Amino acid sequence: MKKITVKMEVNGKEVEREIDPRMLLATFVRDELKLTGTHIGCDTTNCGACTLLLDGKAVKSCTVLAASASGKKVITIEGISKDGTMHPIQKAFVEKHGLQCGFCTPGMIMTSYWLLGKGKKLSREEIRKYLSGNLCRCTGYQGIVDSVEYAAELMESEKAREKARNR
Amino acid sequence: MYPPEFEYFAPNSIEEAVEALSNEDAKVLAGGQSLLPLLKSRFAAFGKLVDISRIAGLDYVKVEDEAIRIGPMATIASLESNGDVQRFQPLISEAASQIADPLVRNMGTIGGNVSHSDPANDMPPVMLALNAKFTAISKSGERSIDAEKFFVDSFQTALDHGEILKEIEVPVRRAGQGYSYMKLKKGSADFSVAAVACVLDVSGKTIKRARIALASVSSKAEIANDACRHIEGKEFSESLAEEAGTIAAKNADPQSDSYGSEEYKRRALGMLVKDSIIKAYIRGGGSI
Amino acid sequence: MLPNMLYMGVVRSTYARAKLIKVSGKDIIDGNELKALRASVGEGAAAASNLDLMEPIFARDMVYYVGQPVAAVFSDDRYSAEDRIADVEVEYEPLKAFNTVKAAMEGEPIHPGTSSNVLRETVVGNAFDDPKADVVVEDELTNERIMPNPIETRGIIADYDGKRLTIYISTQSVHSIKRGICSSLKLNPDDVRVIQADTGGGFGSKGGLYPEYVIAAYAAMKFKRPVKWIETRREHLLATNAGRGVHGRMKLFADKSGKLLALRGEIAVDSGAFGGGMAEFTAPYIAMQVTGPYMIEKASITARSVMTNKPVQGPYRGAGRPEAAFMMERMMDMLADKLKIDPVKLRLLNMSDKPFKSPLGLEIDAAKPFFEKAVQELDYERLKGDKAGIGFFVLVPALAPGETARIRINSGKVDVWLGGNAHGQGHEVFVRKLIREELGIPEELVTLNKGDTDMLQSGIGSWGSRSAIAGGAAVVSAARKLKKEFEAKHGKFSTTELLNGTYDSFVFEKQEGQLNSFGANIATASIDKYGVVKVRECIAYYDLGRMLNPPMVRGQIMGGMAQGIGQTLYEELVHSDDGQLLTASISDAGVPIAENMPEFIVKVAENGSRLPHGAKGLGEAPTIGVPLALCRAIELVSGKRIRSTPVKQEYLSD
Repeated sequence: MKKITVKMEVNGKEVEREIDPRMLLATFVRDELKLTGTHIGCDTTNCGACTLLLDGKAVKSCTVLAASASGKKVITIEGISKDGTMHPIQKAFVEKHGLQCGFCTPGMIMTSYWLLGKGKKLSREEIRKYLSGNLCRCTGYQGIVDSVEYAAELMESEKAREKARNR
Repeated sequence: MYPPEFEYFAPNSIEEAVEALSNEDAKVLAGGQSLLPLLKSRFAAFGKLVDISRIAGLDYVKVEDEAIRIGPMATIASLESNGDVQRFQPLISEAASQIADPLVRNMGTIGGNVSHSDPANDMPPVMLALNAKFTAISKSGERSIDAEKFFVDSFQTALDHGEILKEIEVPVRRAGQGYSYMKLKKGSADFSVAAVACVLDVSGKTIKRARIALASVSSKAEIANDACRHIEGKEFSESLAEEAGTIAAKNADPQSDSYGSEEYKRRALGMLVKDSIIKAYIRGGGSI
Repeated sequence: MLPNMLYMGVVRSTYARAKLIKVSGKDIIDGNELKALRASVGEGAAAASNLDLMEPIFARDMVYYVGQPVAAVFSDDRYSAEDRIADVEVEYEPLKAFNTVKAAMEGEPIHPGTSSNVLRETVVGNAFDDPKADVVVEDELTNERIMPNPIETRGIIADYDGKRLTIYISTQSVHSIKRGICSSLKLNPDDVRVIQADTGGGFGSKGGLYPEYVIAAYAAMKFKRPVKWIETRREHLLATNAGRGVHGRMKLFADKSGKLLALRGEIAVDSGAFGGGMAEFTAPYIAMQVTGPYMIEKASITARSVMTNKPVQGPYRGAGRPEAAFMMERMMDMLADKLKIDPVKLRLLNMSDKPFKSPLGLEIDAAKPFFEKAVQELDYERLKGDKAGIGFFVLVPALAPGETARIRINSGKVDVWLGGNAHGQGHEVFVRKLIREELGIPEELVTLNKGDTDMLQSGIGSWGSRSAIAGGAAVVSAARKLKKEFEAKHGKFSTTELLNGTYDSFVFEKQEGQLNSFGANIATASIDKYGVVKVRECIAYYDLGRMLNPPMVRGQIMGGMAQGIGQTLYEELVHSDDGQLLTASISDAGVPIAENMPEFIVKVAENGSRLPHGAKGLGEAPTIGVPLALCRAIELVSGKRIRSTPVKQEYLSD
């Protein structure tokens, strides 16, 4: 089949590749870009281990063609830490035991990254609803909900600190 | 699970899209949330995918002349949160918020949801209950299709080969119009056991007009005609709602599967229809 | 990814039972070429008692379940590997399939040349005549099959350099995989190295050998290229060892005060299509545990493993323990209802203040003191008013035969290998802690390495609630051996000097006997008219001996509680009459989502064990306890007798 060229911005960097048109975005970031933090768990758009941000929205990259993402901005789990420092959400997941085997974690964190980016205050029930497209088999979700709540606090206080600094 | 081979084309205009779709074996790709899973499990294969996501201006929501016009590429998430939709046709947002999960809703589109015509999809019954009109475009021009004619069978719509959905038009909610979308799920599974979209025009205690549409209980989404007729022009009562449920359940054609037996699905449908009539009646200003 | 790698795809049977007439395709490997047998099934289990009933790596002459490997294809990328699967043509002549234990007991033998589908039958317990009893309750109980469903599926890369085969694999035990591959392909153990890759959960499904591993290993040697295979979720649901799948008929005799007089029962395990390992010993293993924490002088269980046209049964978190407790606790609730006495009172009445060995062979400590405390910790008196269900159980961890550990000190750093491989439990936490306690070494200097058969000569595996107990004891023993060695050489022990030296200590810390512990759960629920259950309160109280890391303990228990709810309410494998799998996605298979889970409460007792570090088993406790409590809560709220899991929405609806 005729290959096509895709160009996109991934974690702030422009990338360009010749690919088979049927290549899924998840395969593209994993195999072409070697960003293997994005995982594939279910094949049926259920588990959300492959979640990344496409033009600012959390989507399941196993159910998006890399071709459709051409010209867009992608952020993967590798793209949220800064200068080797973990993102507050990552810190929160470590501290609040939001993971055990770690396989679903990149997806959980990317959904949280999108969710907390909205800046809305969320109840535990709302967090659970927003996480309904991300499956975890290890934690029973409680540690994950704890982590997202705590991450919101961390991000809030980080914002406050930044504000104070800019004053 | 990976899709079989196909050619890929991403047109920049709707004209280019319909031209490409005249290809024998071409298929429209919108948000991909239904089509890609189908391709990945290799339940379907197409020679060419025409990705319409690059065509500018197909994701609009406009309110004009007592109607809401929705572009086919409007995402489910946008319909869930759009202020105009919430205000002028809240049934759509209510149903949108119950589709799959937030991540799928970020990518999935209303055009894809209706054109896929999965009997378990949520937007088809909503469109039926709202008497939506679909504008289809092909090389030979545009035509309008009523919702009732649009959903032909499982995974089959009235769209002809080479035709593409260009716009969906639904009337805005009238005064005295009540609505509800109710969906019964089995545990954590993603499809519904049964789902009901209900729109009632209520005046005082009387149900003047009823549109009740069902998903997951037949080979396609469909209006529960007998149930609607049973309650139209009558004064509301819980027993009337229950009778409508019984009629809808009797007429439906659910199949036993891992979501439940035929018998359970009928029973659940009857209760859902009753509950959604009550909810819509109250929202329409009716008093119990 | 390794350079020049081949991706493997597996062509699978589309019939549950059929004659395999012909397989045709280009560059395939099938049963005409690779005639090996699957050496074991499940956690490093023993070989089958009957070699004829071992699963062939590829189906030959006959297929026995939907999903059974028929041929393998290879390609340069995973997309075209799937294209090649579609190109292989297989001709079948369908035969009648037997998909349930009942059908298999009544039907013709699924294997030609055998006389019945009963793979093994054992009577456990003592012989007795039915006692004169005031009350007798008798019923049939079922736990349907469910899948382990770790979010990461199975996967392997096999790499051959012309002399040696190196396997990278997601596993609970590199040693079990190595034994299996060597045995199936008749390879010299020195020529095989198995290295654990990051392992994204297992829950039993990644402990043992599978046909795909043998095929990948064989293909790597044949093609002299690395071969990679990653299981799809559909393959997991179709062909990975399923758990549970147990039916029981129990008859409980009691006097009118509620004192238990005797238990007689039958257990039948849906073993799937082949023998070997798990499927053979599950039935008597369940039978042994049935009486739980209760004192019953007379008990006899006939335990059968029955072959059906399904993939072989394997371990899923609990692996026989939840089934045994389900049988007993359901019967206890029925007896309480019949006698019209409080279920907790009935339970306590039948417990002893002294250790007890059941006629079935289960050894328990004095049960009464723990469970009296549990009733308070679980707030039973308050929650009783909300129709709370309770469940009491004994956790029987897989302590025997022990475990291996190696501690190596070099250049001030400490490297550790354990015979059982972590896949999400955080073994590194207890390893660091125990080494600090034994040798005073700061935790940041200690690394627990992933499994590697070249770095640790032998090992058992991580399953059966055994890592912290058997693995922990091995770490303590290896540390003490180091300390002795140091003291023999240098006299007084010094951590600093130890770290300055070079040491290497390996132990196989043998374990015998049982190390059972108690646990209790309580749950409340509400049910709507559609039959949808909402779990309100879900509380655990377990004796963990000594908690080595409280937050991880809590996390693991809560995860297990979610799995317990999953088994009770959502999870199942539904097959059509002709054996096709209807629940073919992870969501249809019922893996719970965040929205449907309650806020769990975990309480712990620490009644130290006889092990040097005091730990008791943990991992499987919640999958045993939650279904017991939740089934009872549902029963009380719905007024309907619960006899099987999952409890169907349909059954509970008005």
